[in-house]
Amino acid sequence: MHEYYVTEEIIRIACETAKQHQSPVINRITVVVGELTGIVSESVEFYFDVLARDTAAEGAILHIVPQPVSRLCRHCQSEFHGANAWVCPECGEPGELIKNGREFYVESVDLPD
Amino acid sequence: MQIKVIRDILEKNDKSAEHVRRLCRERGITLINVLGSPGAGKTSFIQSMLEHLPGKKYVIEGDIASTIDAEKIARMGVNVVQINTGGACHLIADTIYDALQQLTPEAGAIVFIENIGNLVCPSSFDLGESLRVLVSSAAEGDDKPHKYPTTFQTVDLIILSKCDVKDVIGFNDGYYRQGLRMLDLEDKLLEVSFRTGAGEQELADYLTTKLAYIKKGL
Repeated sequence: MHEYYVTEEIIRIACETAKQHQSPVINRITVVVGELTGIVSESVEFYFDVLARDTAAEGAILHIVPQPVSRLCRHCQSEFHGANAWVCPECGEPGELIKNGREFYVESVDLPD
Repeated sequence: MQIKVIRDILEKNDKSAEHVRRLCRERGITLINVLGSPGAGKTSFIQSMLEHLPGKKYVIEGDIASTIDAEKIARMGVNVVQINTGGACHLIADTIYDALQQLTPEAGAIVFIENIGNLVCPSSFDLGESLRVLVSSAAEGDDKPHKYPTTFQTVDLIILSKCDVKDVIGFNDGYYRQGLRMLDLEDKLLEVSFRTGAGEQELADYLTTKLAYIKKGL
């Protein structure tokens, strides 16, 4: 529901980056969104087209990378995913949290060469 | 050309929240952010604590529209600022900073923030508070910790309000607590009814102790 606010922030960060590199155009913005942030990617995409108008981000591709909660099995070292997956599906041992699902950041901005 | 950025999307709000936190630290103010669904009993909780907790208290009321809650608080003789978001589903730290400038709470005071009634969005926004409280009413049903784990996981205290209606609506205590246990939050739960007064004094005593610890920086 608060995707309007966060989309404005994504565009602000991307445009600042473009300005630092003297680029009037942005080709692509990559954003990482953890599964527990509650952010609905479709809503961000919806607002993006509207809010990016008349900015360097207008026409840019918005690439959203979902980040699931990930745990590493203490026993067999295999990585397993899911907010409610507490134990390793292979050996039933509890896992150590390596990605908490709350990641929410602009990873990269692609500018024309 | 790809530029690596790695910048938190909520960085602007986080920075404002730090300003709020610094302001409160300098003036010895304790800020309490109150979250919960519409109708969970957030205003009742604040009204109860205004009566039960010692010292000077202030309130920042957040609503999409209206001044209904602010008027209730003002009638109690307590200084209150109303923020109307006009549709936004959460409060942000910038508006809290402005509200604090308006309220000018005295040193050592407690300031309650009643966030927008919503069990999703407000949990993502740090307001610079020293304590985050969730009012979760029995009337909403016993499945809430199962269905809204993110909000439950971000709070310091869970108040299960409207406990007097449990029997009437067939509220399953075991299922509610199972949800909290799954999230390792069972020790954060306090039960109360602001209508009958059951558990109200215990809640006030608990908060008094908790706030004393916070003031000592523990």
